[in-house]
Amino acid sequence: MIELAAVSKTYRSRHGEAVRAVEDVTLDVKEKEFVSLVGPSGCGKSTLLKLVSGLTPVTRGAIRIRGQEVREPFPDVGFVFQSAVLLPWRTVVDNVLFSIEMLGGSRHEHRDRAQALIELAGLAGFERKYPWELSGGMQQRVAICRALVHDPSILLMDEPFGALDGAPRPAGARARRRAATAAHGRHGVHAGLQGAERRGPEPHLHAGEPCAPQLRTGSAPCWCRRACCSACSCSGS
Amino acid sequence: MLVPTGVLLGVLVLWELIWRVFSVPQFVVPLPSGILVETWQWRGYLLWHGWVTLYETLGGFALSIAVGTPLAVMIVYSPTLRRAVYPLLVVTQSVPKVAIAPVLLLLLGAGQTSKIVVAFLVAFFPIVVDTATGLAATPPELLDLSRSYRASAFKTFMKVRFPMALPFFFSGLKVAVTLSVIGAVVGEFVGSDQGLGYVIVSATSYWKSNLAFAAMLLLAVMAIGLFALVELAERLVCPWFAFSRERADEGVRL
Repeated sequence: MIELAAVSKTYRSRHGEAVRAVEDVTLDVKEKEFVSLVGPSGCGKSTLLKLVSGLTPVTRGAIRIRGQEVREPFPDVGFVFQSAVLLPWRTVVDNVLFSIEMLGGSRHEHRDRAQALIELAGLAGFERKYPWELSGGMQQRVAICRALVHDPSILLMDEPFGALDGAPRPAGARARRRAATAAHGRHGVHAGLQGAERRGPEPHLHAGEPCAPQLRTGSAPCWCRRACCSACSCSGS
Repeated sequence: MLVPTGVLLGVLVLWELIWRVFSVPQFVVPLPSGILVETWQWRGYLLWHGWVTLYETLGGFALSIAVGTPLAVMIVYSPTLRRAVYPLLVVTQSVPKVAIAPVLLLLLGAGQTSKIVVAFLVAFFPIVVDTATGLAATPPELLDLSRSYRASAFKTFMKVRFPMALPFFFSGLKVAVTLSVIGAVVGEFVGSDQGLGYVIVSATSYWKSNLAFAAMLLLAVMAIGLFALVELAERLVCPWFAFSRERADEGVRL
């Protein structure tokens, strides 16, 4: 469903020199698959998500979604960021319906869906609360609902569980590696929602080499407890 | 609230005592009690002139919102305009307003229009700078989100950028409203036959320092009242911001 063919992205820095953010990434994500990008910070995980969403054009290569090349932003995508970035003047339910308003849809028709998502995220009873009345983790769950309310077929999450898992790692250990997650399909969406409770997204990929997110799709949940697992949100041993 | 009130009362009592003990002449600096008596005696006169100054202040303030806000939007949205307008703005701000006031009076006459324009010139700059800062501080994630929904620039402005910038806008308003009072009074100093600025100038030239101090008192009350009104509006319009600030305050308070 999502095809990346030798995708590269080169930024021009302020001093005019070229910065290679993503180089030669080829990836094929199938319908209902849940894929995680793992790598150290600054290796281009977020950039890759921006490329897939069409917010940033690729420098070389091509991205196709259902065979159609991505050239501009498209609304069939849900976004979750590292921080919740909710609108402080809107209640929980209005924050969730923000997506619908921006898309020009009818708030009324999506009210039930918004309510169902809020309940699924364990926020029932908080519909009329404001973001500053919620904890950081609850705010992030509202952001996830906002990303799902318009029923997108692709969910892009950029380190979404940073506010949720926060398991401290021993000081001086390997530099903490952060995971950007690209998921799509309603199945993956679900996994994403519950992933926080279940310690880590289920089908899991690993990588280690700095400066280029490496991708590997797998179907087994990541329960392994090996050293390489310091990269993911499960506490490996 | 209790502590500053106590300190203020203490200073006034001390002032009164020292003046009485050393019998400082009243026309140099009057007694607090004398000022209060004077204020009461001249209340009708002071209120009328106060009304004139209030009118000019609010006129200048309204004008600075009406001009400053769109200017901030243009500066944020158009790099060309930013390059063209920003240096000009800085130039207008670097010329002392007291120096412009006489020229403006020549241009616009000694009526209230010239005072409104002086108040506007003093007050609009913080509105422009603060609103522009607020508009530029929109979280990039929210802009990405709007872009991915293909929302129009206008929609993004109305639903995201402007409400996000409101706390900045209000901090600009708070500075601007007190500056408007100063602008109006400066305008009156330069040439006027009404307003509290005029009262101060004419009273001091007749050695009636009690009356001059009474006018100053009224000006202070006016500035504080206007500031409080803007703060109230801020609380009503963006309660989330007032809340987060109170939480920050709690950390500071003992």
